[in-house]
Amino acid sequence: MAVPAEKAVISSRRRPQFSLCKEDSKSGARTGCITTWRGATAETPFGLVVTRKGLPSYLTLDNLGKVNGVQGMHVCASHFFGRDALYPREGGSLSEIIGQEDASPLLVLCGLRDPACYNLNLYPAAGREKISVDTEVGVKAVSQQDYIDFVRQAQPDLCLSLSDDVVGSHSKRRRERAQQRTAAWLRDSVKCFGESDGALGSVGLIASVLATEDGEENLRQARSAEALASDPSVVGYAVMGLGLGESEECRKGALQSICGELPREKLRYTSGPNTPLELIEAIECGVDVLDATFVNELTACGMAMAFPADAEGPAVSGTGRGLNLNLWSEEFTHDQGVLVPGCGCYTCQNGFSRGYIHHLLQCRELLAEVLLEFHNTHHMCRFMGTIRAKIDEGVFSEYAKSFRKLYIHQ
Amino acid sequence: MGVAGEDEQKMVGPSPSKKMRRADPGLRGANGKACALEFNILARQGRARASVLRLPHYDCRTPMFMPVGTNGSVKGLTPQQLRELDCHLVLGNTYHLENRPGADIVQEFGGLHEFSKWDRAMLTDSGGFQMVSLLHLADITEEGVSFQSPTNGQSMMLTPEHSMRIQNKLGADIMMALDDVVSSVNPSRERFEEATYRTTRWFDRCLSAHERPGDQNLFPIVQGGLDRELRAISLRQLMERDDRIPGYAIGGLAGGEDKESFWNVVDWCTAALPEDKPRYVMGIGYPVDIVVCSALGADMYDCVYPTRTARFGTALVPSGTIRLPQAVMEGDDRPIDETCGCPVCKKYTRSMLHRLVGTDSHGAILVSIHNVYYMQRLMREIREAIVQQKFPEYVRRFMAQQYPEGAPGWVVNALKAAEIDL
Repeated sequence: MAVPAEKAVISSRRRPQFSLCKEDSKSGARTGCITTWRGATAETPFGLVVTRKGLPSYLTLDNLGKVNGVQGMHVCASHFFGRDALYPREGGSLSEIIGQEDASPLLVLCGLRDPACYNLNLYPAAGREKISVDTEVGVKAVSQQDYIDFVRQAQPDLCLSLSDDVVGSHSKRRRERAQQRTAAWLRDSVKCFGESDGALGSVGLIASVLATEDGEENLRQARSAEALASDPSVVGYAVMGLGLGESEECRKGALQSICGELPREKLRYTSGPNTPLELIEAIECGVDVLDATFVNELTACGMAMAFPADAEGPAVSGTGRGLNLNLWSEEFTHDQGVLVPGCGCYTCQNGFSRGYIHHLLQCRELLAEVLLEFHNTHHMCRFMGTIRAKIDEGVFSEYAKSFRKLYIHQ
Repeated sequence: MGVAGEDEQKMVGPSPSKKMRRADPGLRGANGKACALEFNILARQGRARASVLRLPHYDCRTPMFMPVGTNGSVKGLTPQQLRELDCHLVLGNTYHLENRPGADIVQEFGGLHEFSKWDRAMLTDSGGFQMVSLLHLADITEEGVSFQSPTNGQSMMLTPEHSMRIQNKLGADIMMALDDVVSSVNPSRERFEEATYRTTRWFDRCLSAHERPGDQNLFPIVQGGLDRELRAISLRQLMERDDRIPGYAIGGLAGGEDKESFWNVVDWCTAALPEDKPRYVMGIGYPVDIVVCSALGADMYDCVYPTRTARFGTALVPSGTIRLPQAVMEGDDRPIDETCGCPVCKKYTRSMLHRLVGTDSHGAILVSIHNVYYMQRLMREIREAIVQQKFPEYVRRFMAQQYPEGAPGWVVNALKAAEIDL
């Protein structure tokens, strides 16, 4: 593997830094800030734009740049399989390949699990050292080394250590082995990053902890991961293994117990929350960075977010609209209103009506998804902005409570 | 995206208004009669001309390529992107829009411009072209065309009056008269003869049915197949009505005819049509065809080709096309076209696009952006070459790139007729 640039240049780069700003007194919620040497900054908590092959589903990067409040992207390494191996193999970094401009970079977090479509361990026979990954070019067995090589070339800002996510229906033995494998991969990652030739010098390692239904086991894993916290390459932790059909209590329990064991000053990420409510819940447990997969899911099925994203109550005038608008519905045929009145997104600001988007969906015109992704991404960012403001004001618990009430009520 | 286009506008005329503007009742046609169009030729070279086509919503520059927005959107591109790509006019399909969502609904929203939030010029076809493309669903009589709706199977009748009613509701800057389209490879001369005369009769019915002549332009379509005599009849009949015609379209082409016949028909028509009116060759979108038609004195073109082919991974380049799905594109770190200034070529390698086309919508959008940019750049270059009186040199350079081994006979012949020696 070629080192992409001169060592001297690389060593002047430093790993992303996380600084904690404010902790909520009544819950685990907190605000913070991530900065990178490239000049990307992100205020936490925030939602990552979940990408395909490093790009949003429908928004070109110039369009994504028009969405206020986007701070980072989740890039899935499994989307970068060629017929033979992972790419990029030589040449540019991920940012160059996806056409991200250095002037206003978004934070790039990279992992192997696809938040939008579960892709790990669906075909188990990958061997002890490898993990099977579903990709566009078939099922691939990926080793720790393959993944680290990809990271070295791709140069994301943050990278998750490999986690052996398995769905709950697996045997106890398999789940135990998943814990062992995840822990072993983490130890190996820390070693790789520690003795790095420089190419990993600006990548922040996020240590994966595999959540289970067993509270004791969660604590054990969190403690053993925490033991590695002193290594400067570890900038944060990821609670993995969630979002795989576990119960609400189970997820909450795992997040609470694991986050409780982790050092305060390190970043926390989790994959899995899939509704605004689950998002709030994860943030209450102390999570800083999340995948906003629900943006993609809603966009793909013709829905526009309309749940209250601002501090001041419902965003949609008139009641009974629900939390999301289903633009496929015939009720919008004659609707000349914008998706959410007063919304600042490109779609609503330019007056694209519900009726027009309904029409575009019916005609299978791609612009429907483009306009919806504009709105949904903006709406998600606005919601996260409100959450940060509420934490900073010290009233997050009250906000979470009233939001939950309103959300469930509707 | 920041794309050229501004310089040229400074050079050739007043800058177009930024806001959506209502129809300007002050527009005067060439004959001094009130109509919704002004056509000013800025420069001529040989038979080619560069002009400003002033329409109620935009001052378009011709020769002009009009991307097709069948259902009121151009394949995933936002109006802002289309403006940045220097598109002046977008075409909407009457047949599709009447099927979904229906002209009444579009009218409720304030017309197609308001519905789709496109503030520059628009053109709607008559719905008649679908007679060729969906012939198995249509039955043509003197009264009109009866279609079977492909969405719900219902039978609907499209008459000249009906087409006008729909297009008046859609409210585009330019409307097309319903014509009797016969596939240009149809062997029956009687059918062509019938269609030629019927097209004129239908145009008269369109004229009487047209309710908004003050802010919408109605173009008739020259028919007559590949037959010189029939084309002459069609031209003569329509030009007898010239004082009520703001511009002409040449129809019945791009239907699989041979290239020699194609350029001949364009040649006959542009030579006969009045100098002071815009000429629109329908369904033309291959860059070579556009350069040839412009040399013969045509001004407007439309085709789904650049955007449709983009969705299948074909990118337009000065030497022709490249197929992005091909295996050789993997690992190719060059942009689609090294001379292209489009936002996609600035950012993406062929290798990255190779991985996106066919599997990801994002890829289709990116290649569409490139292809639309390519077409608009081509049109800009044609206009600039005419204004700078360097059009023959431009055509020679263009053809040398497209055909390094020498242009095919039909191109040579067509350009000879346009007084350009390759």
